[in-house]
Amino acid sequence: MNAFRVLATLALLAMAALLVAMAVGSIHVPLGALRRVISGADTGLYTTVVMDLRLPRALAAFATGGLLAVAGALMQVLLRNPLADPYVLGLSGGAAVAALVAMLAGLAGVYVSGAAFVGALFSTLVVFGLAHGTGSWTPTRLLLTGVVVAAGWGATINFLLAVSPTAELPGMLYWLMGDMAHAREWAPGLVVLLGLLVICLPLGRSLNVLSRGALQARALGVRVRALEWSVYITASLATAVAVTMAGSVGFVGLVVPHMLRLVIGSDQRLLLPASALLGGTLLVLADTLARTMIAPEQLPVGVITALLGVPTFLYLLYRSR
Amino acid sequence: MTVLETRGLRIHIPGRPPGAPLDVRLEAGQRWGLLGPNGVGKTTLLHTLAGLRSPSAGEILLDGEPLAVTARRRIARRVALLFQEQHDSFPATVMETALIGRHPHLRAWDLETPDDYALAGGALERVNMANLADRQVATLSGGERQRLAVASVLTQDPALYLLDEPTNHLDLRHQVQVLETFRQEADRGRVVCMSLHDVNIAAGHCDRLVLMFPDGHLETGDTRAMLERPRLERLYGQPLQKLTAADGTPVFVPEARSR
Repeated sequence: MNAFRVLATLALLAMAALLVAMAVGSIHVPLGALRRVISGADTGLYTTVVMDLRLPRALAAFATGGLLAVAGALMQVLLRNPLADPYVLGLSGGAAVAALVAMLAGLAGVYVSGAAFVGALFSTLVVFGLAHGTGSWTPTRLLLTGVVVAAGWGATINFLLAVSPTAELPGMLYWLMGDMAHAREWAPGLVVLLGLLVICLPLGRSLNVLSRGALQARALGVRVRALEWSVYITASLATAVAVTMAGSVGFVGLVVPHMLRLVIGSDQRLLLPASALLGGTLLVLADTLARTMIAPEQLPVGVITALLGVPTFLYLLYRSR
Repeated sequence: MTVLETRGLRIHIPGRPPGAPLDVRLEAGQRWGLLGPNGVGKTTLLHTLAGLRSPSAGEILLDGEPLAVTARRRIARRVALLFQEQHDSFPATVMETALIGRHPHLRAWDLETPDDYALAGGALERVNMANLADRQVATLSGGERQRLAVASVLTQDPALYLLDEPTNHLDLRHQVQVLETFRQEADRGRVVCMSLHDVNIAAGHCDRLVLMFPDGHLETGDTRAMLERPRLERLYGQPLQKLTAADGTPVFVPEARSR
């Protein structure tokens, strides 16, 4: 399939998803009104709703989904393991523990996000340091270290939930499931997403070679150690930014790259930008559903990503050769 | 022209006595064979020559420059290594797999050009796989995968081919085809260095041999001089019979039962 056509189709889908996200909600914005809002001809209620509430949230969702999908694709190559996702190395656990502690301390908003970011980086450094160990570095060792550290964070999260006052629990659970309701800052996420693609696209062919094994890649002239560390660091930063915006949204990072592989193959030069677009689109749609399904109540978006993604993925897998 | 030279090269194989130093010059047009029993270090030696691991002593010169300080990408443009086993964790087509041989020749932002596709297509042709170009690698048989790996190293178009058991998994016809392909490569001035298990293939397809004995001892020389029954029996710890083919070349077969 033609790479340009794939990306153009996905970009159109992303646009459509953003339009739906702007139009749908407790106040329905008809298409005509939406056009006036976008062109700046309307300055009333519609503009406030679309420009101040829905569009920032939709863009934040897009950035989050894109970051998670790209980070997932990178982790799968780094660990040569199709089950890897952005959280597999314990990053979301570290973020969650820090965010929950911040909530327990009575903090809110940007402090919780900040704590999550610090927690994510801390966990990355712990895994980074421990996996290096005294011996050689292998994907298996990194994976095991990450999984065990994640299990430790998981136990800590359960402990925190068990000792927390009941009134705090819903907020904590929503954060753990991934929630866009408080995401307003979309610019940093989109900037990081673009930066990530600019860094990773020229590495695409090297990543293709790396996915065939470290020795094979070295024999083909790839400086494997340097490539692996840069992939690890960029994927971790991307995930940390995503977790900071939306909590740990599951499923997108694992499944979007696989969906795309089933349809467009494994060439990272196409897979990475396509993952960014499809991951973003999926999360925008999921978030739109999350805030409209049982309106005026809102669901955490992570629930919807799984509910939407599981059947789609199973269908593609069933259909594939 | 010397492509690769070893000076006092020693490799370390865990649990084996320290090996004797290897001093060889691999010259354009030559075909070298590595013979020795399982676990003696043939693969380790090939990986060392490809710069994938460091020797325990001595040095390797590629085009007269120490291999240890040569950039990985530069090595990969001059030396191709055919691995004994192929791994593929993610789906890929036959053509994509053949094309990875172009990787060291392309810069970061380069896309494969029609020339690269032509090279890969020609390599697939040479291993009889041109009609399978769009197939998924996962659907191939063991022998087809091996031929595809051969096509990838041909696409890499190096000065030196290091081949770890190139006839693995191949039926008789494709063994001959692959070995003839590398004979042609040697004829156009490339060096071929392959580890082999079949003494008779070495007799027909190598002009020089390195014999790696289990005690770490090495012997290097012309194929005809090296292939003597007592020496080979010592090499493998296996009684052999020497037969003579219709064209006069010696053929070695293992004795059915050890005496």
